[in-house]
Amino acid sequence: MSNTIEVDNITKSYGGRKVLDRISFNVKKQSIHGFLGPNGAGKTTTMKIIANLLRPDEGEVRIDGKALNLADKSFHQKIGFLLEVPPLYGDLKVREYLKFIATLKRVSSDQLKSRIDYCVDVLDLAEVENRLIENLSRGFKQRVGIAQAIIHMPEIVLLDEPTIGLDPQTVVEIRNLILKLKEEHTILLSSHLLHEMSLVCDEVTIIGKGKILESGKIEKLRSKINESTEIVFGCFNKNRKFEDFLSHSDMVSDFRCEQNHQETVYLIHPKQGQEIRAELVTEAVALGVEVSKLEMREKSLEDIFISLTGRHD
Amino acid sequence: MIRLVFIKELRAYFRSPISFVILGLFTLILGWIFYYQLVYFVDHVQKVPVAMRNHYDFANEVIIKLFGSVNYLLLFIIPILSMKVFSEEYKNETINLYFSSPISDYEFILGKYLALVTQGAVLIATTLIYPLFLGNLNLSDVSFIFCGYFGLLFNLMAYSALACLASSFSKNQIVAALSAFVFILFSWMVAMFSQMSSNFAVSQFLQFLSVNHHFENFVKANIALSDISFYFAFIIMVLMILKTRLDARRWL
Repeated sequence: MSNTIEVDNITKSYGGRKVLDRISFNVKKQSIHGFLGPNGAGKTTTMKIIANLLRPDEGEVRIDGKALNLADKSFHQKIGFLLEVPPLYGDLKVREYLKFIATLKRVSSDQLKSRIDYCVDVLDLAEVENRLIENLSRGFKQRVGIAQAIIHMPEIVLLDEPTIGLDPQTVVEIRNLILKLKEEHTILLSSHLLHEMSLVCDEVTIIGKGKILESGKIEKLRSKINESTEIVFGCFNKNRKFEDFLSHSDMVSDFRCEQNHQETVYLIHPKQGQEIRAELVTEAVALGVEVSKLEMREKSLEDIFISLTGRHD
Repeated sequence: MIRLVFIKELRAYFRSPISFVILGLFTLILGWIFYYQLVYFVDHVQKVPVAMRNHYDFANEVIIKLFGSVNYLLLFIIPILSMKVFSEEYKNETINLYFSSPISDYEFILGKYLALVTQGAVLIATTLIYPLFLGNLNLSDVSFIFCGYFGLLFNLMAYSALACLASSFSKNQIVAALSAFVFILFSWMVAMFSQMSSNFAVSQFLQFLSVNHHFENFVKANIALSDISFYFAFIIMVLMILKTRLDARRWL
């Protein structure tokens, strides 16, 4: 799959303080790419640079291989975005607002109505389309914010913390909307809610203190942490042969043994987080081990995030 | 695109109850001023002998003073009208909608600026009732009324440009309004500085820079091409500074 967005060695400083320090990552076409980081890590600044609203001090962003340029307004047709605060006019009705944005984005007059209808339909705005935006709930405001981001059918949609401050039900609805958008857009989704990311994203980039800590598939990220997956293997009798098997097995990265009352517990880290429980049980039974417990413990993305960023946020 | 921004701005203005409060206050204050100037003039004229009444010029005593009053009120009203123009766009981050659209900065600025000028022009238009009311006095020369209104319109355009610029400096509307007031006041005070200077050339130059100096020429129906050129140059220069100001936010 080709890259739609290529962020290449971007550096950005505000008043001498480096906010982004030579960050690089790629976003694949028609994927949902999570951009994770604690507050103040540089997510919004990166989003603004990709949205062509800010100029980086160094480095460049390429969209479909072409370097972004503030003066080149043609990029704006390719990008739609919703930053942390939805850019809404409270004194306009939802439909009026969408019409205004569509005209501003130069959607042709013959497509205007169909584009507005599409947004109203996809984002379930029909019940509020004739209401003033200032009177809408936060969830609906967020939907209108997403609608303005996709009204001109951009190739790329940037969503900066789209579920922040929403109630759980609305979060689920917005999440489903994002998944729906994937069919037609490449989405870069920033958040500090790792659980949200794990549910919708194909790939994730983690940023902390202006530096990229990790970038890749969520599964790959998990396996990058040695202790990400741990098998708890309990048995009633300590077995030397089974320990020899663990020491020499190609499937096991390392293990340690803990004596717990009458039970011996082996904490086993499989290589690349792979599922090896079936093989372990087969071998253990063959070696005469009486298995008392077998469970897989997986580190949550929160754990990975904290271990990478080195802070609790 | 200018039209799109212009219509959106005007619609927002006329949907707001504040616009009608401003309109009401403006007409109330001006109506009161006009009434007292008229009563004072009639009172005064009746007290002098008939032979000397020619010395009292109705145009000077009532109409020109009325233009002065409108100009004075604009000093307070334009900052109120303009305080949201750019500051609210920054505060609500709606400015990014324009920065991320295929609309040029000049189209965006002109749309907003012309909408502000139109709002001011609507206020000024309400004062047309006074000359119309005086129409049956058979004024021998009405050209000064036209010139006075042109002067007011040019002043309104100059103040609006300054107020737009002031509004781009802060996300806070109160700060934006106060900045606009100071900017407009400064454009008046340049004339005062000119009187302080002992150097004739400097004095003349400072006087030329004063908006009110040119406004006076309009009110006296003594318009020179330099007056019109001054207004256009002034407005274009301020709007260009505004464009640079908007650009700067992106390059920070």
